Amino acid sequence: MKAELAARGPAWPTPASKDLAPAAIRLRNLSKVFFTDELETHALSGIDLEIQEGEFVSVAGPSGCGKSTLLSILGLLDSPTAGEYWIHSKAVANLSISERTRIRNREIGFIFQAFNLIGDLTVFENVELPLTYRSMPAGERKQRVMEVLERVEMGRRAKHYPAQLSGGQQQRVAVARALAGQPAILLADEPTGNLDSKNSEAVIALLRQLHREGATICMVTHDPRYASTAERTIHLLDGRVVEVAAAARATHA
Amino acid sequence: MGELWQDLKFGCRILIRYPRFATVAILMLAIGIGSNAAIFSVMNAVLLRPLPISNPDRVVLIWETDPNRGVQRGTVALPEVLDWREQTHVFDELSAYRTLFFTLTGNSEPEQIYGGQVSANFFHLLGVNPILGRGFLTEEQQPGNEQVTILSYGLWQRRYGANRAIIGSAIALNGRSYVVVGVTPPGFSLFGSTRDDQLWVPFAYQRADLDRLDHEVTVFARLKDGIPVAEAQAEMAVVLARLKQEYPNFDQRNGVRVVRFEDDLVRGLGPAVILLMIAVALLLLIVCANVANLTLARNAVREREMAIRAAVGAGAGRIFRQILTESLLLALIGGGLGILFAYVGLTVLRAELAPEGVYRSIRHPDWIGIDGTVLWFTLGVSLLTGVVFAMAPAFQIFRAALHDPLKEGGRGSSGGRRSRLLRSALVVCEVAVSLILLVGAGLLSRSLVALLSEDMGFNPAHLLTMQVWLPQWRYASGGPVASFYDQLLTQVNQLPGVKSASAVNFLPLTGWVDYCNFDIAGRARPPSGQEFTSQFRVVDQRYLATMGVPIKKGRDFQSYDGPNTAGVAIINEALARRYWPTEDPIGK
Repeated sequence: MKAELAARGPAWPTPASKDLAPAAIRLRNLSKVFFTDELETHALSGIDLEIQEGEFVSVAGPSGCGKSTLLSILGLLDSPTAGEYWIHSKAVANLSISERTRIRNREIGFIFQAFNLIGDLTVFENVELPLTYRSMPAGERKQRVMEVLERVEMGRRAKHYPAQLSGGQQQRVAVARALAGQPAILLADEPTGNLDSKNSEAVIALLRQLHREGATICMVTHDPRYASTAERTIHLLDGRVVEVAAAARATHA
Repeated sequence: MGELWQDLKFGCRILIRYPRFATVAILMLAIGIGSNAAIFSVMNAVLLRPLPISNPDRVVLIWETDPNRGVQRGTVALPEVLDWREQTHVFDELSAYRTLFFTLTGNSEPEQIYGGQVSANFFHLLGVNPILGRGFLTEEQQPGNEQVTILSYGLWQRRYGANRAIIGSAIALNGRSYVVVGVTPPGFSLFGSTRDDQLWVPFAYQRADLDRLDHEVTVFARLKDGIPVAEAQAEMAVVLARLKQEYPNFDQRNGVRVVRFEDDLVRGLGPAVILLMIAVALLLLIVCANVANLTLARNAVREREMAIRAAVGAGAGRIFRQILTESLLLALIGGGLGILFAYVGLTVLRAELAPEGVYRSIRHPDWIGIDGTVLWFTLGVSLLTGVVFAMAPAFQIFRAALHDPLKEGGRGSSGGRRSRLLRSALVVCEVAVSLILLVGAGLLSRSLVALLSEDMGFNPAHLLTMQVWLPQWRYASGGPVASFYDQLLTQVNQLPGVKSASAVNFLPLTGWVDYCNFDIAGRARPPSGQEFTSQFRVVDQRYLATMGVPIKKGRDFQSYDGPNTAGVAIINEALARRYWPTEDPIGK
């Protein structure tokens, strides 16, 4: 995986050492306010955060604390109301829609609680989707998709439709889709939220393995067991960072 | 290409996944696109398809007008044509034409056919070259040389088996022998299949013998290159004024009207067809709004799918292309079905417009159909329709927030305010356009009802007609003609089921009319151009009874009325009001 990440392109080279590396993600005084007819809801307030390249960070906190909003902003699915946001030193808070789309496609992989596979596409086609939007040649696409499917042990299910898979299998396909584009950053929003403990363990093990191979991962979870899997856990409450806790053991190689 | 194929594949899956949506949308589109294809086919046949002549925009007709009689398309006397030919400079050529009815005998069953008597340069003027033989020669306009004929391609095929040896052979027309000198190209048809000329013969005349009062030819002319119709009209007015001075007996109030031949053929029909085209275009707009609304409703459950696509890197253009591909797929399937609908509709329409049909305003019902032009039009309309009804769903999806649908339990369906507004706007547009169509249809219906309830002056119920043309070579004078019709009508009246049978020289509502001037006893003859005048028809004694025309005053014709008794006439109320507004015309 490390070699694959290094092959991303010249814009964001893999740093020689973690200390010298620019942060994969940096937020400064970021806030998000939702406006309804008569109400202002401050989902995030004054968030300062850095996630280093290759770091595994979990975001924890009670429901409604702003975890998912933070992840949406990190994934460029939503825009902050104020504050600054850099991905690999590139300011992304106010990019054009097409530039945000390009970054989502090339630099970010998403894993959702609800799997979010497209029901009318096969497993293969779901995983192929980000590569299709990259206009990758069909041969290369096929090879890449089969590689990641084999990696998550779903190669033999390539022609199945999501409805024909169990929840755990669907999440593994979702992980495969996130990996297919060889993104610099993996964002996981409650990836175990819809899984039983066995499948949850399997998915967490997979993320851990990816992290060991050099992936930068930011995972939202409310489950302390899985939050502690990360190198660092950021606790949110009412849209603010209230605690940053280092894990007892570092998992990065 | 690979991506397009993927989009198409996915589009098909979506249609299969939502069969009710697909069925309803395709049927609506088929109706909308099919009606457009059908009406366009009519427009193509009536307005767009060029006439089978060379540079048709330069070919004009010159009609004589008679304001005293309200005549706008009056035929012309042959001597006038010869004068115009000599005195005008705006035309390359002028040619005379008149319709004749021929009895063709010889190698097969006798048959009566339409034909044309034309000037020798007629085909040259039209730029039509015979596919076999030649056109007429100038010397064939000399009496004694005129017994030559040119056959239409259809007649040559049908009656003579496409025998090329027909050129130089003699055929029998009206009991006289004519030598075939040419065959026109296939598809050459001036007045359309409702009244196609099947052969042509040349005029033959000695100029000195021609009668200036014998108005019976239609004048074709070819404008010189670059000369507009208005300039030709102006020159014709000058020439006519000069001729009126030269021939004082000529009706001094008559005028001329130069009109493009194509415009003359479609007179009155053009605006109606265009109006119909606008109506079906509006119908298609309603269909678009309907399908867009259905698509919006369906896309509400696909909002998550679109958000996923966007999350993994599909740009706005890429998503629009996906939506567009699906819309186009739907529109093309609808268009294909629409062509089938149009084909069926046009088959029925053509049957109604056939020569035996009641409506003959469309000259070429055989041109109405699904041809290459209509297919291209339908493809274009289908693609345009696909684009139009893809707009609203695309707008909806572009405006939707990405993150909401991706959340666990996030809205998989959009009840968003914007979406509701968009759908409401579409409904408002639909209602507005529907209202326009309904008002139009209402007005049309009112006109139709008024037309149907219009008193035609006769009772058309259970009325049958047939045409009989007696060849002059056998029925030259009035006596044999009268005797023929007497015998014919006597026998027809005895047929079972026949209540009454009669004869008239021109059937009503056919456009064929004749005029006469008359004097009124006790009144001075009006000056030239203001004569007492009227259309007239020659009928037999049972005509009014057969047609169900009531006699308001006076008496019907009787068997004793005839050439040996005092002349009698029956006039209508309009004529009575015009010339005897305060008197009783009976006995005058």
